[in-house]
Amino acid sequence: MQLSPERFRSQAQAALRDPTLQQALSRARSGFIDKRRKGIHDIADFEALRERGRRIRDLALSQLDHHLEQLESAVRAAGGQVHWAENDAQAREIILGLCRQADAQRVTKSKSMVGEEIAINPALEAAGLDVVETDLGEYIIQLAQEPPSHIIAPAVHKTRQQISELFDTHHHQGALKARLREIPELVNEAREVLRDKFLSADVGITGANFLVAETGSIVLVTNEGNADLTHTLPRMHIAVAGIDKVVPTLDDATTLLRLLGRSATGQAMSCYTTFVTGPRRADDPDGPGEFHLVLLDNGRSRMLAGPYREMLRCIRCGACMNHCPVYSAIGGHAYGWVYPGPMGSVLTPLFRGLENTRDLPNACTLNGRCASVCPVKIPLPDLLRQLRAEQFRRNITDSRTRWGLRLWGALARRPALYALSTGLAGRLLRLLGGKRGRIRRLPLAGGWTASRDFPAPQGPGFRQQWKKRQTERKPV
Amino acid sequence: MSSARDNILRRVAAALDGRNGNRGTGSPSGGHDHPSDASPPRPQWEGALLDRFLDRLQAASASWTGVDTLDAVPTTVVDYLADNGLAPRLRVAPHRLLQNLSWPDQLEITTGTDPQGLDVALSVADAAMAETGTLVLCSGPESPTTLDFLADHHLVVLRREHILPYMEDVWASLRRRPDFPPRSLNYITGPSRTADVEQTMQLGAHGPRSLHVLLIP
Repeated sequence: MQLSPERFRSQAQAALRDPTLQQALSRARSGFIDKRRKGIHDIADFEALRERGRRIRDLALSQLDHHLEQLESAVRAAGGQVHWAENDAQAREIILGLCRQADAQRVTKSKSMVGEEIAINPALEAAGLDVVETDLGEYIIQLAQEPPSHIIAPAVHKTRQQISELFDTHHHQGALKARLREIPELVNEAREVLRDKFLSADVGITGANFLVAETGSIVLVTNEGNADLTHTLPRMHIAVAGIDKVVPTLDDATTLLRLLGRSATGQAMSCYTTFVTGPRRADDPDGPGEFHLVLLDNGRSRMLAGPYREMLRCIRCGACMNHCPVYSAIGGHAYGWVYPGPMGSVLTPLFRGLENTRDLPNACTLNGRCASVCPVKIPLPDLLRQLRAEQFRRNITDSRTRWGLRLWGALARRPALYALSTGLAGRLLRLLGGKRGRIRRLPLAGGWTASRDFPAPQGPGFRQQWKKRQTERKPV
Repeated sequence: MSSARDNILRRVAAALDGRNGNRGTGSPSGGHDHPSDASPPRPQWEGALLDRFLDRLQAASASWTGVDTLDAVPTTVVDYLADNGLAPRLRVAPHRLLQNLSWPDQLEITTGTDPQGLDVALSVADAAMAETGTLVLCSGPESPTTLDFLADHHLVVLRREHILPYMEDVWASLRRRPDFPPRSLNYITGPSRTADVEQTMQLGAHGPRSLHVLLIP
């Protein structure tokens, strides 16, 4: 079944029941957190770096129109062309048109989340083009015909056994009988298969980690080197990026690069960080004859105007999902669209509409780990709370929750009634808990008690304790 | 698509002007309105620039050899190929620094960007940065990007004086060039790698499997 943010609950439940997925997720969980922790060590004041990153992104957004125009003229001055797309359909149309213009048959692609956002692959494939993802993780999930489940590790949900099976089916027609293979062998095989694709591609499509207004450069960060082969070898390079990606200067990009690698994989610098500016020059021995930059709005200008502007600071490092207890329990597919985890739970409702994504802002315990690791200090839990409030205001919240919130609100506004009812509830729960102090089944909370016992309250409640404390403190 | 352009820019401008104090106060020239602290938070180290560079280079799984003079590069390359069991075949970048070297007869030298026979490539770094042990290579007539990514093994000549502390220093240095920015400006930190299979690091994904620096005075 096609994944959808509307089916978050059932997708999350299926993920929790999938032992292979749980095996893959448990491996990823500690790995990402450890890598970041070690990676930020070499900068004494990492907090100051985060603050600087936040300010750079805020300032860039606060003059976005100016930076976009500057970027456009710089790209043109370097011999490139700039295309503007208001939405995903326009972006697909532009890219398809460019591929036709290049008389392309084969297109290599370097991992791009905006590419996923505009669903470019199916559009190009429907037009008869051979589209090949070249990032190893993206290639694996392209073979599996699945969407990415993580923004920087798209195949994080796949085990080595599953990858061995996929390669056997697609590279050996099943001759290896799905034998489990070693990692170097798998990586080498993908290298050989994809090398031929690189060399025979007519068009290379990349995303952009950043756009630099002063030089008209796009910044590409990889560890594999696939983005560089994608933009260097074909006749035409098309880069597609959101309008939010622009920063004013090379020095600004430098600060953000220091944050990006460390937050994503714990690397001070990814293996390959490339600044691409325009097409091949007159006396260059290689490079594409044409360079096209497709700038995508798709709701970003609306975000800029509204109360969720801070989300546009995002540099797509994945740290929020790596540190999210919900993501690490259910993986990325459960979220149902391109962007998973905390950043996705904010972005997806803004891109796809709050009414179609009602569970996403609620799939969060508000533990705050995502905000504490975000390299540009996006207050993700606050934005999620804001989305919940908007759901309530717009009547999207389901009726049971609404009634629950109303009831709580009514009690909270009447302190005496609140004291009485919580006192009664506490006593009742203690009674239900019995000698063990655990409650097996609780009316209205079946979802909670289905998988664990509810602990009965212990000792006097907060209000009682507070009252006692205040009396004791009073001077005699 | 000029109408899409105008619509987007109009919406962005409206978003920025619509909310009080939304528009930044920085100079409209796009200059450095940002964080005023003179030095950005970045790695610090004690000791020599060269030591830091070599330490970080090796931490990124690259290797290096000190070469006394430029003229000694060919014998160093021959030794490197022999030590690593590689065929005596070398693709040399058309860089002025490499043009007058005398290569021994047993080494097959090729030029150009043909992917066939591109096992080991030799190119010249424009700069390097000690911060992360990174080489900087700018595409251009003397430096085809193809060589740096298609070769199985990448050898890079680096002048000691071209090692700079930080990326900001690299920008300051490259900006002085008349052809800046090049089409492709590559910051290379160690050989190609991937962790896409079970988060286990594996060298030699799509780019070079090894990266070796020949450090000249």
